[in-house]
Amino acid sequence: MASFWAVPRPVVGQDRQDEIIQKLIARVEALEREVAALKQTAAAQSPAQPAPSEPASAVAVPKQETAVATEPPQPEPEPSEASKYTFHGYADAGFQRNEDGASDKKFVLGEIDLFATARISPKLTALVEAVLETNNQALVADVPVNVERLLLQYRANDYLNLDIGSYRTAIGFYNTTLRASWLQTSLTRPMLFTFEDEGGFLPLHNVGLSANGKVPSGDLGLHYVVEVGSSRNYAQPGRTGLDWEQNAAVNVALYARPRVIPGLQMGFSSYHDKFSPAPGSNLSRSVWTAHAVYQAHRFEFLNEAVLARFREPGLGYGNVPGFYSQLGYRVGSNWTPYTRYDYVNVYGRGSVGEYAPQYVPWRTVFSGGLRYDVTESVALKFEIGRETSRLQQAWMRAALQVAFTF
Amino acid sequence: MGRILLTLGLLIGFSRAAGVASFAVVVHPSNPITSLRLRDLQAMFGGVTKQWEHGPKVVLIERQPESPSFRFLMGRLLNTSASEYKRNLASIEFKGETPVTLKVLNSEATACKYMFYVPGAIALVETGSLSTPECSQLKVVRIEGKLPAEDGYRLR
Repeated sequence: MASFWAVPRPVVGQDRQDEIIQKLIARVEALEREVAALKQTAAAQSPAQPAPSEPASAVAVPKQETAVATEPPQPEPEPSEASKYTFHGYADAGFQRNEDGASDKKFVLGEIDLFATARISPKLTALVEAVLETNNQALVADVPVNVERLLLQYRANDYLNLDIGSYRTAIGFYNTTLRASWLQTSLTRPMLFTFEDEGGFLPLHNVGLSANGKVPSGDLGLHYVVEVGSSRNYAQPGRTGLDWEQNAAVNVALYARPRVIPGLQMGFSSYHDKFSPAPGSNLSRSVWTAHAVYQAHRFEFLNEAVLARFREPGLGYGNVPGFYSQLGYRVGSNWTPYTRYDYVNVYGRGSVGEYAPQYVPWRTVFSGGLRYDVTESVALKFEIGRETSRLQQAWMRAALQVAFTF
Repeated sequence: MGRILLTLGLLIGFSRAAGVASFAVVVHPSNPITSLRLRDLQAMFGGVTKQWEHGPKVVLIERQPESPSFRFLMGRLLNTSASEYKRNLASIEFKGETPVTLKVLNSEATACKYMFYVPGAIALVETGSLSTPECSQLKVVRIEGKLPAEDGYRLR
């Protein structure tokens, strides 16, 4: 049709032009009727037209326009190729001022979190998450590669999923949900959930078996997690929380996502294992957590409480109660100011009680910041905080960060 | 005072009649669902509900970010932003849960055509598109018991 109009037309009068147009319209209508009749005939001869099995993108939409216009085709299998493989990377870089109270200021490269899944079969999925911990500029030739998660997941149904491999323990909310900097609203993690290899006291990673799924509970939306595994060994020179024994760890978690309040999640967990912070010791470690989280309608309100107990007959015990509360509110479409308060206390008896404050030295952290989503994939964050510790005087810290996903 | 109120009323009435966009929720014709509550719809597009009660996986059909239906989805239905929405869906996947199946298509017609091949698909389209050949044979779902043309319809 375009080429037709491109042909030079003879100069004729207005009446003559109108007549030609009318004739052309009549001719086009006659042709359309003929085409429609031919298509109906063709459709009647081949009623079951094969449809493409796996439309993968907008351009792959099948061109069955005649069938669309006359009668909807029979349902075809849902696309299976679209989400067979996924890969996402998360990274960050920034500038820190007085991070540890030592008046340092430096640019820092954060970590690179590489996350991938592959669907092996309709019920089997492989999940890999590896983190390149690049944030130590003093040892650039020795970048640790941490296999955060390596899981073979079997999804029987909504009520039973089995994961085997290396997982993040279902201790609280933050540990299972938020890892990469871009996913977090705040620039820093809550101090309670500091990773084991960075001085954290909670067992946030295990290797073993995890069963999880929904509990038939109607609008209450209950979910369960049962984990049996071995806690990780972060054997590094000078690491006080070295876990020699890797004794059997058991964790049970239950949480609810009520349908009547979208965005609300409440739950608790109970974790137990044996823990050896020093050769020869064999502490019994228990961690109980409870959380109430609301993430909807511009609000992010995270609240988690933890009670960790370390004890060994004849050596005493140490208790570590703590909590954090974080509140954020999105202003406009891109700005999210937030504030967080972290608190922990340590007390105990015997040699375990004396040692515990060295293992968990910090007391409170009060921080506030601003997240600005530059694009859907890039966020700029600024955070300032005040920390108190048993080992040094209180100090202020500040940091700027750009976090992104790809 | 009375004149001001009358003028205000006329302005509101005119704006509603002339410029208020309305959106319909459409599903595959074979889908037995006829009505959804607003919070069920939010749960589906928010990635919380990933499976229909009759079995198939929920496949979200969405338009590109600058389209009216996507803006309505973000601003009115989910009360979120595009970046926050992306982060939320990424978090679901990152947790190791079944990821949300989402398809972004570049026109209402393409979206409607695509839906014929995906029994579990659900989409939010402008009601003006319902009369097009591509969308006319999809099933329009009642929201809180109401169709787009009825008074009290929530998606406008």
